[in-house]
Amino acid sequence: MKKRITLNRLGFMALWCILLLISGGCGEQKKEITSLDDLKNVKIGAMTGSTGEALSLKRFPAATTKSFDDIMDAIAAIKSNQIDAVITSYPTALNICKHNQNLCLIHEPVDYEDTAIAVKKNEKELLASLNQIINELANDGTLDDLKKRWLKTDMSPYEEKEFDLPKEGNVLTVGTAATREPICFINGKNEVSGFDGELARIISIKLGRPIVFKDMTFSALIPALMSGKVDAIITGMTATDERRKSVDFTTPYYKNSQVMIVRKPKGADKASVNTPDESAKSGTKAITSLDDLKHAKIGAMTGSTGERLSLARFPTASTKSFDVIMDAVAAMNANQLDAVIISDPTALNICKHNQNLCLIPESLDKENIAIAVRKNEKDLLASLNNLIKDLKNDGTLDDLKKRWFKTDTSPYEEKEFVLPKEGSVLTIGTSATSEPFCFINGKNEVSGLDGELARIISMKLGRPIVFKDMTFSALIPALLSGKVDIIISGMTATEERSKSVDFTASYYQESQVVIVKKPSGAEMASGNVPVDEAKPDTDMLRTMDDLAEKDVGVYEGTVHDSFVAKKYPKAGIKRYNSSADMVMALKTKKISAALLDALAASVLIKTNSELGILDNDVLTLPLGMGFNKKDKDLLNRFNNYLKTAKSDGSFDVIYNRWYKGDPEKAQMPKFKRVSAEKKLVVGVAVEDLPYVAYMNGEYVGIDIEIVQNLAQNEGFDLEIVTMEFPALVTALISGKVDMITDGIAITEERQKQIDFSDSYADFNTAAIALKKNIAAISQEPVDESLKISFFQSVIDGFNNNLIKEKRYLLIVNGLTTTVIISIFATILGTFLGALVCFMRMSRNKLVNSIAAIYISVLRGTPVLVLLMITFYVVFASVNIDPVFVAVIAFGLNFAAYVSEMFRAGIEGVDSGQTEAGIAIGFSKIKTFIYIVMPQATRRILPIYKGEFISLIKMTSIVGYIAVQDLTKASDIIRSRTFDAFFPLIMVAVLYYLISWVLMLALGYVERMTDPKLRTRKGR
Amino acid sequence: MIRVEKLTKKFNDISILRDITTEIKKGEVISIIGPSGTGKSTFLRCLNLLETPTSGTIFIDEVDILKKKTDVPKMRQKMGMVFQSFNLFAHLTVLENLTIGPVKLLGKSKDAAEKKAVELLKLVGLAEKADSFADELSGGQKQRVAIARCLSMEPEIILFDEPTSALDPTMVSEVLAVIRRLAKEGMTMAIVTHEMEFARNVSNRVLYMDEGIIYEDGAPQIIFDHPQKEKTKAFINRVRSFVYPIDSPNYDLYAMNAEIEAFCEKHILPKKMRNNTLLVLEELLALYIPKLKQVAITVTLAYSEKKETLELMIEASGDKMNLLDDPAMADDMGMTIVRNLTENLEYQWKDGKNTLTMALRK
Repeated sequence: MKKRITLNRLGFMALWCILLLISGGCGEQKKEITSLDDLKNVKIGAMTGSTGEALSLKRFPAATTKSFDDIMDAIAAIKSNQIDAVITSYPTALNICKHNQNLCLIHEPVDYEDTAIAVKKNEKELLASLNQIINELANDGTLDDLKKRWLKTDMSPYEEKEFDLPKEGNVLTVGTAATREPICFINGKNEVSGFDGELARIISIKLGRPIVFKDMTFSALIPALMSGKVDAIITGMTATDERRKSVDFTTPYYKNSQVMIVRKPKGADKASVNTPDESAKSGTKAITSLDDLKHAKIGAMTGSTGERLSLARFPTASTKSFDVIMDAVAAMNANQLDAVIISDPTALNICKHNQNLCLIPESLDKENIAIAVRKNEKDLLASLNNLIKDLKNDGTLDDLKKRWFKTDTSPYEEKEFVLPKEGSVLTIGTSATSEPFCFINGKNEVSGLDGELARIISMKLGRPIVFKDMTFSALIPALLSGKVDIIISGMTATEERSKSVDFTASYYQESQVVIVKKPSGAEMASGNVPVDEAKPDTDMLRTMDDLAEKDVGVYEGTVHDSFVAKKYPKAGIKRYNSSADMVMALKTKKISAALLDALAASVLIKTNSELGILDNDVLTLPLGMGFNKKDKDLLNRFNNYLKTAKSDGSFDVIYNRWYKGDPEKAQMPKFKRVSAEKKLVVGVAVEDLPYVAYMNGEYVGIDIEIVQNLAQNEGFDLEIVTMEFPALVTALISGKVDMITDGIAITEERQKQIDFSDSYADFNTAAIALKKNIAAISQEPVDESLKISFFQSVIDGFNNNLIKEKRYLLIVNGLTTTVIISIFATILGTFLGALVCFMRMSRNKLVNSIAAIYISVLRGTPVLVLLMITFYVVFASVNIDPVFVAVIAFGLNFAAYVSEMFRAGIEGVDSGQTEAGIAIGFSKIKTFIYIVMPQATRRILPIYKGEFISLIKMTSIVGYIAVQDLTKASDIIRSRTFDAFFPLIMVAVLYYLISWVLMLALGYVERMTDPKLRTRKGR
Repeated sequence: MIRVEKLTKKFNDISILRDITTEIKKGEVISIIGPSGTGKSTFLRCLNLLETPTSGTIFIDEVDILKKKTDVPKMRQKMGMVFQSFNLFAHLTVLENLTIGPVKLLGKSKDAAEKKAVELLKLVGLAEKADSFADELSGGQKQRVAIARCLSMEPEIILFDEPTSALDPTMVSEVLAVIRRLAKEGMTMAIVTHEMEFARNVSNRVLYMDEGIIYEDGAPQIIFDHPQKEKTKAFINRVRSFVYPIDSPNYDLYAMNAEIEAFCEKHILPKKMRNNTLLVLEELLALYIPKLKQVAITVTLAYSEKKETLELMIEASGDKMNLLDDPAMADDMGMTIVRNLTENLEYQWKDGKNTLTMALRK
């Protein structure tokens, strides 16, 4: 019965496929096969000597039949488009389709056939007893049970039975071709398993004979049986007439059908999307609960509790370890993983940034996050424990949680602290790649809950702090070796870790959860993404209220944010830092509408023809300039100025210039810089016209003009600084700027923190959307160039990974570090190498062998290990710049390699040259300098160049000792953007460029040392 | 100018030079001749300490150069050396090869050094090669540049270590001509050479070295025309010898014959002479061996290229036994053959050794 149900369901699926093919109009794809009739002229794969092969030749004479020894070769071939279909038995086909989502079955069976056990001719006795056993098994239901347990349609694990097999007696050798799950395959214990494996074991028990499996290729089975190598073949072999000529078959134990596997037609995915129920059950890899993880590939962080949990809870799953979480996420995005286990705050954050990922709501385990302290540091531990208790009691911890562990993407409200500068420094180890616990913020500082906690600790303890950022697995070694004093990095207090370090009381209880890809269809069903081709009608926007359940884009930290949140609580709020991002998001249908200043909107739609204004008057707010609450004087002076300007009409001139006319064409009058003692620092975010823009190397816009006028009138030396919009208020409060302006709406919330000037303009909010989605104007012809081109996606990546948050600074710093380490390590290594080479060539046995040992040890140690030893062991108790350590470690390594190069180069110079030099009257050293070295250099340089290049590339591991080099910089960026493509490609290109430039330099040296070239040029 | 006293050089207990004492005076052109492997080159290299002597003293201008505080590089500047393998500096042009020493060591200005270098190159006939590199020159040209390089340091003596051995025969003369010219100009030189004619013509003193000592020392006329000592004679006459020891009555006659044939072929002896040699030797050994209590015989063949004579010597240790005077041998068939095929048949008994020498008739 069960089988029939499955068949029906699959048949349903197949029907869907066909229907979609027809309706979707994808028929132009030539090689899509949906029924047996389509197979006439294609390439069909079959297993050598199988009935499928014979069938294929007979039924499809016009088709090309390719023979494969192994079913997986055939599958590989179909996947790589080398064949179009594979003919095999139904259970095998079922299993293959289960594991390969892009393959499917054709549900008309090609043929039915009997599967039976093959026995050597004339073994009447064995044949009789096997027949009897099969009859028994068929009658008592064992065969049915076997079918039920082995021929499954879902991914649930097989229930294998344990048998007590006879050990004594005449051994029965059974031939198998164990590559066809679920009929016959090798299980995790390296035994022949599956339907046939179990059948063979049952037979063994019934016969009272021990069995031995001989696994071979299918085509070798019958020859093996005939030659007596095996006594019987139990491997889903069909009893054909042809085979009957050579061997005897028992009564059939399974009625098999041969079916075709083909590639899923294009569009089948969409079909399954529309029927998510089906897709989940028909064996695609959608994972919706923890039980589905049993056989999945799970990613976890090296040494994390997630890794341990994964191993313990899902022993049958394969657990992959990653050093940083974004690698795991990237792997999952690239379909290399099915799930990732991490703590919930991080998971939340990742899902926030990756719309195709989601959490499994059941948590795996709860665990305590605590600060790690070196053993025996009782004082520090006690004070930290007290501190945590205090923070818990006074609600600080709760506040922290509230502010950092958000479910939406609203910006973090970072607090500014005045940290102590004097006193003994507390070094804190972090692995700042797990937002929101611990990450590098736009200011290149360690931020997040842990970052803030650390700063609070610093204040409470009255000790300055220094962060050392390193890979997670390096944290505990660093603590033990004294490189850091405490670890605050979302570290779970496990028993194992407690053995080496002490933990404070827990400051947060986190749970480990699993992130998986959203089940296909879930996205559509939940309606988060409004651009759904399936239901285009609902995309149409008539009024603002149509946005109630859609994604709406707003400027990060603007009033729109709270406006949308209040008015349309069900709407998804996407926050952007620039109107460019917002427009991009609109065009790529990430959001349905964007809210922004009406003036800016009118400018925007001029340059983006496919956009239109949905509503021009969503919200009106007065605009004001922000002042520090403590600086009433400046506020008053500004208000006075504004009042006068309004009364004498000069303000109207300004207002008309920017508001009434086209701001793009507005010409701002020139202002002279006032060289006054008093400085006025104005913070702007350079959002866009008409407020503040940066054009032709100058700040322009109404806000700027007002401020310039103020400076002129009041005699200030004006300085304009640019920062992110959300940072403006913070900067003002912390006194970094004296006033802020950039079309800032006066809101109550803001007024709590800062003072506002009188309003100088009104702020109208408009909602813009794609024209075709706006009911009122959707009839207008729209330019259909909306698809994101590759070029555009590169620009997108460029903006996101480099420009945003000034991430290029990270890259520039990383690049500098990499170049510094490379060059200084090369210099150190070259000199040290020369010394070692000199020692190696010394006639003094002791000196010679010291050099020899040095070379063999250093060349035999991985650089990474050497680097870690240098940092964590050799310089354990010294407070030393890790860049310096990196230079030393790479220098040591480089020396070992180049010293042997030098030796080879020097020994390659004919000894006669030295003799001649000495005979002329040069001392040994002068002979070396004037005669040997110039000749050796020419021999050494080519290989030296190669070694130099590999040194540059080797430096990419310095992240292990808390150095922010180029690779680490890209890691940090990736930890924020979760974009693998752009940062990695960029870093690869940068490494190439470094190598290339330095190579050119060495090439120049090489040409300089070529005596012929030099002389010819010189004369 | 150079005085050598009891100079000994050993390599791993093998003595190459043994207690050599000699003197080289200013203006002398000394040729050092002798068979290969007898320490000629080692002796020369000891003079400028390219090899460190094991014992003995070397005085240059009455300064003991083996003393620690002696400035050896300074001493070497006074002694040029020309190598068998030229050893021109491969990374420098010909001109730079000549100027590097004067500029770096003598403190000459580059211009002065180059001017001098061009002069010297003219002297050896290679001025047009000034900008070439060593690997663009022929062997003879390289050696002439090497000589010019020595001269650029304005040495008081030049040591030549087989300057023509690595050269094509066609290039030997151009190098020898340069050396001859230097000799004429009064340069003090010590030349290790195998060019006998050249040694005879150019030098005013010849040292014959053999077995690590200066075997004979004298004017070229004496050494070449009337050598006093046996080995000198053999060398001057370009004697090639073959020695075969026999230590058992059942010696391998055919093996010995094969070696003798090979020796004869090598020196292109007439076939008749070779057959006669084998016949004489076989007869003599047949006569000797039964009469000896203990067989310890050494057979020596010596061929003089200059005189084109082949001498045979048979040494047998044991009691005195003169085959020539033995009356029983008078009519012996074998003895008759020996007498017919040889001349200058002589017998000697000395230090328990019977020595029979003869020359094969032509």
